[in-house]
Amino acid sequence: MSNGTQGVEQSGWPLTTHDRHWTQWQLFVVLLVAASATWCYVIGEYVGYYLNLKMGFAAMTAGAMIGMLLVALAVVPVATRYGVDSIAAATPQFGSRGWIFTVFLQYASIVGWNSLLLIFFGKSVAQLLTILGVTTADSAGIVVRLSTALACVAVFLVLLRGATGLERVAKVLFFFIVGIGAWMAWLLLTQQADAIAAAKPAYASGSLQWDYVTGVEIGIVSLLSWWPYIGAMVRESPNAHTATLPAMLGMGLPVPLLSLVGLAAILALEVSDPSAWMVQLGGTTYGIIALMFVIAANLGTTFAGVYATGIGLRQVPGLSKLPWSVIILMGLVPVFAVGMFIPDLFFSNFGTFLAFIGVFFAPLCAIQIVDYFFLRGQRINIRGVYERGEGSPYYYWGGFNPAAIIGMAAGFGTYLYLLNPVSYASHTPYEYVTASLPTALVGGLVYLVVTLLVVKPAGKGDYP
Amino acid sequence: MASQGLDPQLERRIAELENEANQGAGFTPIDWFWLISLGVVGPALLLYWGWQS
Repeated sequence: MSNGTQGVEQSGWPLTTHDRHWTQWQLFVVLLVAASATWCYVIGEYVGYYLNLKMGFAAMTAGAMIGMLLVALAVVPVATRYGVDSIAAATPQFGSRGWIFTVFLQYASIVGWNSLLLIFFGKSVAQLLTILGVTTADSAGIVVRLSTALACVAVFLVLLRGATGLERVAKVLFFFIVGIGAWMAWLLLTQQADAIAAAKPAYASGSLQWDYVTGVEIGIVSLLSWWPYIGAMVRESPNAHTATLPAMLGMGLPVPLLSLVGLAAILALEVSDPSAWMVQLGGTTYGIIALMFVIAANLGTTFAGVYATGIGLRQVPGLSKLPWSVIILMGLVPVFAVGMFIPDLFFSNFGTFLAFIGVFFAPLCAIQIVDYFFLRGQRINIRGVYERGEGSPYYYWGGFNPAAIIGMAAGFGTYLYLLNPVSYASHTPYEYVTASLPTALVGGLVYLVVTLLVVKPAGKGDYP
Repeated sequence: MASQGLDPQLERRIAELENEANQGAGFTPIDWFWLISLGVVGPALLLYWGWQS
């Protein structure tokens, strides 16, 4: 590990204010590129199953901004005060061994999403080459695998330069993603206005209130999934002020705006994938533009995801001193293996796992917010984050904080009672309050009570 | 608290960040304004607007 900033950017160590040079604009660009990917169309598609364009846009955007607020409050203050990522920021709550749970959440979530995005990427390349007459539809399977492999190599080469490589690629992708994304939205909303206005949501429940709240819930839970990503990037900014608007507008707002494209498309054309409906609207040329957009957007998000995973893995004992190239490979090899050997199986089944993983982020954010703002007076023991042994500030009991474990379990149980994340079967009061917000409230409240009644009186956790 | 054999560079970084003057500042009043506007008030207004069909 070098002693320069470049080496430190690739470590899990805290960045001092001398190392943190990203401006608001640089952070905005990186966060926007990280947030913009194929999943936006999927989010829009899901909302379009229940709501029309106006209600869907309002519910989805409101939910997304609420979700982004929770993530921003949970991660940004700690990450920017001490220059640490999401995983290190969660150590004071989960304990000097319990933080491994957050590493699992981050690793499983990001590797899973990256696999899906790169398979999407491979499928888009296969479609593009077929449209151009370079390959035939029969060879799509091979093209998907080869494209995934090439994308993995590209991600590896870019991320060898750490955050600097990420930031430079983001600058290139930014204008492409914003420009083409806005153009596609304009195209769809102007050419298909009548079809959108006349469209009926395919799976409307019969209760407009339930459908509306479900639109909000989809927005919240989608944005809560930014928790594993955001810390590694906002820690590059010198203070919370520099990161606030980039987080809310760069990472929060692009998702509902791009999802609007998926929402409008599913209502008007009954398909959300732009590489399919753009051909319908403008023929081959439009289809090629859409495919290039999907390729660029998914690649940008994968860069950010693998970088965030690498920084998170650095916290694991034994991995902190491995070469950065090996760390990147640990985030990429599972993605490569999925893309090579089980792309279709993964595509069909992994969504269920990701849905359950996503449920954990609401109580996790609430626990961090309660701990940092209400219990610790907006300070943590930065030394305690890196000391693991018995007697260290966040050792609690055997390295685990029971308040966090019970809070997470209470939150998870609350969510499952209110809403099954796979079948969407719900229980009252879901139709009034969503599932994520009560989950966050219960998780945070349980954490607060157990901390005040058990942890603090026992002198554990280095509370003031 | 003993340093428990931390890497010297990590130790140097921690020592620097333990000094409050070297930490990044928290949210300013303007940041709170944006957080509340974009994360609470804005969503509430959007939901009201969306429901008026």
